[in-house]
Amino acid sequence: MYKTTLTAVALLLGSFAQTPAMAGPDGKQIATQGQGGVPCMACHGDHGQGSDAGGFPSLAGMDADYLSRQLLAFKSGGRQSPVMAPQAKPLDEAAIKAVASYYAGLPAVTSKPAVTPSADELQRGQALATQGRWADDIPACVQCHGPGGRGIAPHFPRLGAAAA
Amino acid sequence: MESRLHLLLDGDGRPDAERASLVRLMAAVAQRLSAADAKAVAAWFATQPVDK
Repeated sequence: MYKTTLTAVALLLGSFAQTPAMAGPDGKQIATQGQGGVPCMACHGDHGQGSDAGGFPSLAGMDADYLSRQLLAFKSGGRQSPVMAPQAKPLDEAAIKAVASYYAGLPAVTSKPAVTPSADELQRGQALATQGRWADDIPACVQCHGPGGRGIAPHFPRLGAAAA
Repeated sequence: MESRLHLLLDGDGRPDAERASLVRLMAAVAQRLSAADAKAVAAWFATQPVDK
């Protein structure tokens, strides 16, 4: 009898351990199916690559802390966006961390630019990004955002492979 | 611009004076960039591969 009771308790505890609620929010599920709002992938793409044509930034491979801070700011209204506020408001802090971690774990990819930039434009962009233009007191972007705009997490966000 | 930068940076663990300095710097840089500059620099960063 004592042995049977112990077995029943062990089984009960085991079933609690496997309860989905204990696992916390599923970032991938929020990204692909939504949670009270439009799924993130509807605008940011199947792989978080963003959409140059739509102006939706790439999220894949971004720093999780940075993404969490942005979502919290959209939720609080601190960062104002009529598009993102309704998506962020239904998410609690755990859901925000989960979806941010999901996107941080994806390989960084970007959408194809809607308009192919000219060689002159790319050269001008490269010069500004890597050398700045000190005659106008413009420092090089890479001084803070790292070589190629890789980002210095969590303080300076990634700029490379971002939808233009 | 400055208020948006504050939102991006507030609570990031930097000392207040350092954060205020960064906000002023970024806001000033953004004002000095023309629309063509901004487009060009964004286009160049979009071509940069990022290793994870």
